[in-house]
Amino acid sequence: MKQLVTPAIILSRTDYGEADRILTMLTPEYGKVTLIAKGVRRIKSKLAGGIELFSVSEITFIKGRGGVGTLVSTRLTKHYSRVVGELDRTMLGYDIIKRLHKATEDEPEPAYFQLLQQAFEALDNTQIPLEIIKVWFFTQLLQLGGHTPNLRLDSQGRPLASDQRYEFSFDSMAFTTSPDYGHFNASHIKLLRLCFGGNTPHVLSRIESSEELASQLLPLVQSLQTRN
Amino acid sequence: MQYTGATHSEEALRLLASVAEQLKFPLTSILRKAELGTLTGDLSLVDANAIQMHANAALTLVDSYLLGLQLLSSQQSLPLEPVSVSSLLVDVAHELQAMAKQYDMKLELHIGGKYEPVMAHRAGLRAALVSLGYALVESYPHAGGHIRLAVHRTPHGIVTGVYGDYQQINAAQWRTALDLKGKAAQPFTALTGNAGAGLFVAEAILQAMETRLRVSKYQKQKGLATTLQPSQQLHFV
Amino acid sequence: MANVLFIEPDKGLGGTYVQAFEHAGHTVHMAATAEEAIMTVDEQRPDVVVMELQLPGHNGVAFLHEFRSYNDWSDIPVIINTYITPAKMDQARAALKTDLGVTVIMYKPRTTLQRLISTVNEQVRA
Repeated sequence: MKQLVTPAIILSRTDYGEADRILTMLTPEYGKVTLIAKGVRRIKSKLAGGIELFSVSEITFIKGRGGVGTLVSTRLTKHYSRVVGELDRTMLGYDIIKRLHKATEDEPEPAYFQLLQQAFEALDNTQIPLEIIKVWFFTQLLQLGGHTPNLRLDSQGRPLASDQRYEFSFDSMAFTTSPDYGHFNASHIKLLRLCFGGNTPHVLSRIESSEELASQLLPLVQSLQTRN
Repeated sequence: MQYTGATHSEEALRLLASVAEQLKFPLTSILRKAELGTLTGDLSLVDANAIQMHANAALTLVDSYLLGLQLLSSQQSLPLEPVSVSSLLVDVAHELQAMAKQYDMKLELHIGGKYEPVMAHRAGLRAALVSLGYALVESYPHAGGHIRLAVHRTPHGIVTGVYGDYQQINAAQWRTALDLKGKAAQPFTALTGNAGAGLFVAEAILQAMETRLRVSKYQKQKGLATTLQPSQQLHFV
Repeated sequence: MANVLFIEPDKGLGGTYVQAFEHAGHTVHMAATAEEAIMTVDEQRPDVVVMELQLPGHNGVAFLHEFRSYNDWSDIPVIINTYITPAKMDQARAALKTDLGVTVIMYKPRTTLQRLISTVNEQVRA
């Protein structure tokens, strides 16, 4: 049977029988794959090697019938060690993995692998504030799911103005003018455009006041993600 | 030491925060070892209480300092909530009891009346009052005596603080002390012979809540207190 | 009388916990790292785990994710006794309890031996 080689990031692990483990992994070419790792249960060091979280590994596997393949070998290529150095980063890392696991239930796009890898890169960089990583991640998930809000025109079809205050309308997936009570202004919209425009968390963190803007945008993007 | 672009003062602050975090370890070990001594009978209760009181006071200072740092750095998004100053003072008094007893002092609680809740960071306000309380108990000018945790109303707002026989302190000395903190080993000699860190930590926490410590008088006693504004929107049912 | 696993990197403090819990009639095993803890759980299935989150190498959260991925350990109660302040734990608290089966979270500097022993006793009885 043909052995396939690919980079992979582990999403979850669980027991299978007496000595085996089932691993769910995200790959760029094959999307989400479920593999049996035979005989590894409790024999090797469980928190080291090619099957640990917050790592990218090169795996060799054989596709199986019925959707479960067999893991032949793993080789750790990159471990994002700083993610486990700080509780908030670790918890966000696990939350991101959990959300991606859920988002890739049906049709796993290879783009999700890149998203997860970029998320790990950002988490591993302690200079990037967590609020920025959170907002960036939610916007990427929305975009991959085809739920990008209108960041050019307001809910009435008028171009968004630099001197206006806005609220967000979930029905029209656009900003709506709210001169007295609006929580969002041009700076918030600019940051959102940069997020949806493919910029990395590192780039976003270099923008003035981005951390404060991100923490103000977070409830909005979280709500958008929950609704979609 | 290599500087990575941060200023000297930022580096010093980070170093101090690191030291403060580290201090929790030996202090916790001391506390648990003293307690173990009472469980096994190797240490008398009197000695254990004294050791634990001092270690707890030091731990409180460290925790309050770290909380103050956190609050000052997150000032723009400080989570505020309605706080009953009266019930907070009861909690603070409970914490200070052991120390007051060690110093053979009587700790009194003066809550004259009902007060509207104030919008504050509850944990921060508690830490500030505990830190202030510890510092003033330690600094009491003579053995024994009365120290008061009080809340009272003035035209400026709801005032809460710690009062005692500190007749020699005044506002000018306190202002000078704030200027000397960290520079002089004894910045506030009118009150204390030590560095007064507990006072300055309390002040820093209160600053994050946009208030200050001031020298204050209450019922013929002097002390340090802060003025809080009652919330206009909230009332206890 | 219970089999208690402590995951505690501070040897001095760990020694104090061992003495206190043995004095209270429990059997105690110590692990200083997440890897050591997994191996110890494998060899001596504990009735309860008391753990610090701030560990060298893999942190306590990494341990918990690995630990909870084994079906036969899923019902072992876990008490977190940590130097991380309650304020910093706020955001992680719900996820630790819901996703990782943590039953109690305690702030180590303020948790007396007596309180820790009685909390362990409650968890073992439950």
